[in-house]
Amino acid sequence: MTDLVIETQELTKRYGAIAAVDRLSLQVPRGGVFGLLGPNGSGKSTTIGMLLGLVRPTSGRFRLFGQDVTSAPEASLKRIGAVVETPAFYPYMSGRANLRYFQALHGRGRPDEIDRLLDLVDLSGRANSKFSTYSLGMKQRLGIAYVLLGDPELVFLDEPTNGLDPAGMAEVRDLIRTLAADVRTVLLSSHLLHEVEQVCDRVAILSRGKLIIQGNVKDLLRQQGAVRLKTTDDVSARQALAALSWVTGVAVDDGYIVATAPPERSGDISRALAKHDVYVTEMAPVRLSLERFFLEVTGDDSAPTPGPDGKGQKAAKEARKK
Amino acid sequence: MISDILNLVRWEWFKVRRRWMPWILLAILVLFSQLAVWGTFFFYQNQEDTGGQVPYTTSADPTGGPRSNVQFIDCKDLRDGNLPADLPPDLAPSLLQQCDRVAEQRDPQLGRLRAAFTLPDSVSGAFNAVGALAVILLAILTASTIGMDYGVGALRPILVRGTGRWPYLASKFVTLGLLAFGALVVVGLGAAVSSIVANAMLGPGAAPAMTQDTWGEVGLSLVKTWFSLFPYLALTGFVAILARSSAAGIAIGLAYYFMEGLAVAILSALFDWFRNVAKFMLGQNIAAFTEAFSLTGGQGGNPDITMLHAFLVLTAYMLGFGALAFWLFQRRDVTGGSGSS
Repeated sequence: MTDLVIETQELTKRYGAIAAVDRLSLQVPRGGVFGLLGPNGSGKSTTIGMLLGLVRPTSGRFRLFGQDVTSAPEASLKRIGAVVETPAFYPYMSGRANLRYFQALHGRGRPDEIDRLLDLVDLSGRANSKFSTYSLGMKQRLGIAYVLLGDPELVFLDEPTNGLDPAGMAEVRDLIRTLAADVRTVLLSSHLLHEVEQVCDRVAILSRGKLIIQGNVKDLLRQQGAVRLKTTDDVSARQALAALSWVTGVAVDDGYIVATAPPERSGDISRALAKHDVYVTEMAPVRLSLERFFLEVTGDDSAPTPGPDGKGQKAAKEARKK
Repeated sequence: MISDILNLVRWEWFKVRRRWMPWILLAILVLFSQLAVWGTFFFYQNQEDTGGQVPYTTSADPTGGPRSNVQFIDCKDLRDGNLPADLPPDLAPSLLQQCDRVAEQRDPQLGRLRAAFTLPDSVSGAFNAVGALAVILLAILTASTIGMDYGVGALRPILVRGTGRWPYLASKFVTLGLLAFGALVVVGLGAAVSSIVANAMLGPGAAPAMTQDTWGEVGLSLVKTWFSLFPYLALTGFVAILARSSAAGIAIGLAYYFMEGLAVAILSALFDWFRNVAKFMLGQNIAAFTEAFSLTGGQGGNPDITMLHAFLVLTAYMLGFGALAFWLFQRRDVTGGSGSS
């Protein structure tokens, strides 16, 4: 049986008639980085809020570290470090004093831990400056130092690269991978597709409060991969491919047919086309981006933000046309 | 649970002492109490220096007009023979007789006046003097301390690491209560030091202080003043949680304080039955309980309110607002950018 650090069962949060989170059943295994992906308003923060005891669930249950703590998660929270939305600390206190306060409040961590964490997030030089004087990037970094106080087993990071420059983003992503290198589990909530794709081992995709799919990122992308091909008769080929139950989509891109199907079924594609006297002249597997995958599984126009290089935008447009 | 709260109290103090506001409020409170002590001292000195004053009437306007003119002369000048030019010489003996009568009454008056800046009465007097102001300043500090967690969004990082809501709010109230006690002790110590200095500055012929309080009564006065702050602590704490805002907590807390005084004054004048309603209002009972000067209810507040009645009403307010604050804080979601929506 998989060791789950988080398990939700039909977890629901309603605000009047609106379901912010709708019967969410999520399983987060121990270790690695788990991505919670979805556009703004998809229910990521509400889900995290419920798991952290900030938001009272309307119905459903959840377990942290194997224990049902739906009504009183405080004891389990002592094993968790979390920043929810923007890192918020006392503006009139220094970064160091803020960390000292939170360390003492929760009764964990050694005295030298604060210096080590400030060093880790590169804030040693401004440790004694007031939090109110910090830039957004510095606030994010202090938030990460706060999360790591007491060496928690499970870390929640909500949009941790917001406000960071590209170099800062890369540093934080490296840091996240480092955090998850041991037995620690990182739950990363993000609307940045490429960020989740780069950093996460597993992902859950949320849309309008519902869980669309969850699983290993590579497996999901492989299952939902595509094959790019040219044939002797592209018109007939498209008709033949569209008739196959395991081909979920057919499109044309730059003179090539793109069939949404697991790449390992390339041979089946060749055989199926041959039955219609259509022969493959070129064929190559296409690695589906998480964005394309997201759009395919949600069919959602309010897609999360693609990568800063614009990668995947063409595929997104194409998928929307479909 | 108790050890959790005590740990939270310790670290609440860590936060509070780094802010300017509590120190400024303490300075205002101490300054106000010192004004009461030194104001009485200088009034006493003035009374003693002049030996009291008596009026006399000049028979005619010095400029030659027909009207009479009432003047005052210091008894000390009269006894020293420093008579003003417009004083008819035949009036001097009768004025001296008046001065003798004033002196007979003046000594007890001066004695009571001196007691106000002499230990131990000066300390209980300081508590009475600052009671109403302490209510206002504590309301400001309470709303600010609780509202700030919502305003800056710090409630989320506090709660997500397993800090219980109930112990956290309890620690806030305990810290604020202890700060209020500490502030009153500082006020008392300040009044004591000033009393010693003021008495040392008096000449050897000063009237003896007619002190009435014992040190036990001073302690009781401290406890009563302290207890009278609790209902407002609970009220403003509740409002700050309800509105998730420092400003709203301060505004509503203070508005209630002053509006209650106005409402009681106006409605009691219009309707006799309202006097019975007023007996259950917060400010009225605080003034009656402390027997102190009230900014809205005069000296000692409503004379119809007994000490026991005031104690019970204040306890009911404290428990009522406190329970509402805990209930709301415990059950409400903490979401949004500032942790406030």
